[in-house]
This record gives sequence, C-alpha cells and structure tokens, in this order.
Amino acid sequence: MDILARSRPTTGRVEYPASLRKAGVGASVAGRRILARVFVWALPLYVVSWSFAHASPALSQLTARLDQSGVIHADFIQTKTLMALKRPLRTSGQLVFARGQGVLWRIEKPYQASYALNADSVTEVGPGGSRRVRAAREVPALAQVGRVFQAIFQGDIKGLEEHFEVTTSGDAERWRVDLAPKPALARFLKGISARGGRFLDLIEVEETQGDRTRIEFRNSRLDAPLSEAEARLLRN
Amino acid sequence: MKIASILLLLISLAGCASPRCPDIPGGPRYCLQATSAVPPFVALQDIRIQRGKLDERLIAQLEVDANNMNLAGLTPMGQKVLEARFDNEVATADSLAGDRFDARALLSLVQIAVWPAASVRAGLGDDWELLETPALRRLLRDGASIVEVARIGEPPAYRQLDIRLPDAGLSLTVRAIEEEE
Repeated sequence: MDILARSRPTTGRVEYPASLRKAGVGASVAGRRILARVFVWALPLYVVSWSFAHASPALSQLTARLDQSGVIHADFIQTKTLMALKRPLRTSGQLVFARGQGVLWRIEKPYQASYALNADSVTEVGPGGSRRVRAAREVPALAQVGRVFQAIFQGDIKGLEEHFEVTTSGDAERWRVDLAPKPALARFLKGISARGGRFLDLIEVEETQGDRTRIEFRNSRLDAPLSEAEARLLRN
Repeated sequence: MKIASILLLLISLAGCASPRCPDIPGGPRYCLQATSAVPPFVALQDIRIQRGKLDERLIAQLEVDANNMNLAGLTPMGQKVLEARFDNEVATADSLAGDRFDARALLSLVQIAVWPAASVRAGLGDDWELLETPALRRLLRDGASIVEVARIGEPPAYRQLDIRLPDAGLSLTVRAIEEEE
C-alpha cells in the first residue's frame, strides 16, 4: 500500500463529503491546506516505520516482532505550541494498535475524546459516551490516519525519500531520524524529527509558520490484550 | 474528516468584514472593544457548534490580556482549524476555510457573551438593546431577540456559555475544560 501517494498534498485529492463539495471546498485553497496538514500529521508515522525498517538490526527485529504482534499499547503526551498562543495545548492519552482491527487514539486529559480508526469507518466517542460512526469515505483524513498506522506496523513503506532529505544518527539503543522536506512540502513543513530506542519515544513536527507539535510516547508495550471496551470500540 | 464538517459550518456563517467590526451572520454588527475591559484570563474550552444538521466539536483556547485577545480552535485530535487575534486596533484571522469564513466573528461572539454590558453596548449600533440578568444576556433589535447568552459560573471564564443566534439557526455550547496544574 503506497500511503505516501495517497496523502501527497500537491497532487492528491481529498474526498470531501457531498455537502462540502456543494460548498465548493473540494478544489479550494482550504482543501489543499487541510490535505497538507493531514499530511503533516501523518508524516511522523512514516518516520516510525522507516526507522523501524532501516535504522538498525534491532529495529528490524522489532519490525518483525510488530508484524507478528497482535496489540501494541503506548501512552502519549501531545504538546502543540501555536504561534498565536502563549500557552501550549497539551493532551495525553493512549494509543492502541490492534492488528487487523484498527487503531485507537484515546485522549484522556484534559478532555475526553476517542477515535477508532479502521479500514471501513471512523468511530468518534465524545465525553459521556456519545458515539458517532462515519464511513471512511465521509472522513477521509481520519481514515487516512488509520491506514498509515496500519502501514507502520506492517512495514509497508515507500517513497519517503521522494519527499524528504533523510538523515539518521545514533545506534540501535538510541537512534534519531531527521526529515528535511523537499520543495513541494517546504511550504508547509520545516522539519520532522523522531527519536527512540527499542520503541519510538518522541516525534517533533515544526511547521513553516512556527507552530510545533511534540508527541512523546511512553510505556510502550507489546501484546497486552485489548480490553473489552477497546475491542468493542474497534468493532463499532 | 471532522475538519471538513467544521469547515462547512464555518463557511455557512461567512460574511463581509471590516477591520474591527466583523460581520456576525444572523447577528448584530459589533465592533470589538478594548481587551482591558476584562481581567486577563486564559480559558481552554470544549465547544459544541450546532447549525441545522451540522453538529461539531471544537477545542478552543482563548487568551486575553490588556493588550491582546487570541483565540485558536482545533479539532479534538489536535488539528488546528482557525486562529483569530485582536490587538486592540486590528483584528486578524486565519482559518482553513480561507476567505469563506471570517474567524474574527468568533472574537465578537466572545466579547458579546463575556465583556461587561457597558462595553458591549459601546460596540453595538444605536438600534440594538442589551438586556441582562446575571445568568442571561440578550441582544434585541426591534423587540426581537437576536442573540441569547446563558451563562453559568463566574466571569470572565464562565463554566458554561450557551450562545444562541436564532435567526442564523446557530447554537454554541461552550464548556470550560478544567486542567490539572
């Protein structure tokens, strides 16, 4: 699966809901911005997979383990520093990947929101348990996130160097990958870096207008079984 | 994507604009007032926006001090949807909806909901009337209620605001998000 081709901002096409197409968004600057930012969001995940696949024998072994693994859990802390605001926005929660079932991105603090992403649909669960299930075609960007996660853990990586100058450093115990965007992406993106050891520890994304996103992953663990609630959410 | 739905909603609210008095579709013409009218505060808010069949959720952070008023809106997953700023002279904004939505209107709605009544009256035209009790503020024109704001908690960062613009069919429920220190 060529995820990168699906999310390429300069030539890709977003499948908008019919209501939005009527509003003329599909071919708009706004649409390109959406796609670009979604792409930016998705890109760090390539870093993970790329690093797993290429950075060291140990990471290659991990890739193999991931390929066989059913479930991966990790805690995350996401910090967004926006040029417009003095105080960063910080969220924390849990990421769950369940092979063949999908991905959960569960925000626990300071507010609650959960997203279950699989091949066919995206389920959003709000505070109080309200659920909204949307077909993947209705929410292409979120569905894209799910596809990218699937690609990460299945080692399905293509085309990274088509869009970035890639620099690696460190060793299997402590590696770092830096991505410098080529001109097509340089409008939106200043750079991405990822660091880790056995697991991915940190992703940092810097956009050209100065906004920065930092995602720390902690307590990553393999094969902890899905809880009943997680399994239910992934089943929709 | 959730962003797309939010954009559609924002675009549907778009209107013309002037530097300090952005149009509020279905609402009053309101000119932004000094940010020093309220004590400095920061509020992280969970906003539910409803208009017709659209029902979306936005996470917003509002920062106000004597010199500036800054607002950023994101999807719950963290993708930035809009920014709006007012430096007591000029209001500017940027949103993924581009020119189709003037995000400065959100600054106006915030001031209408939160700023002291005297300030809000100063920002309205002569044909508008502001009535309020501690829990409810209403803006009327020709006796008709155009904006209604129900407020719970203490100003300026109320625990909950329910803002309704019946003519625009727009409803915003703004809940403060409590953060751990």
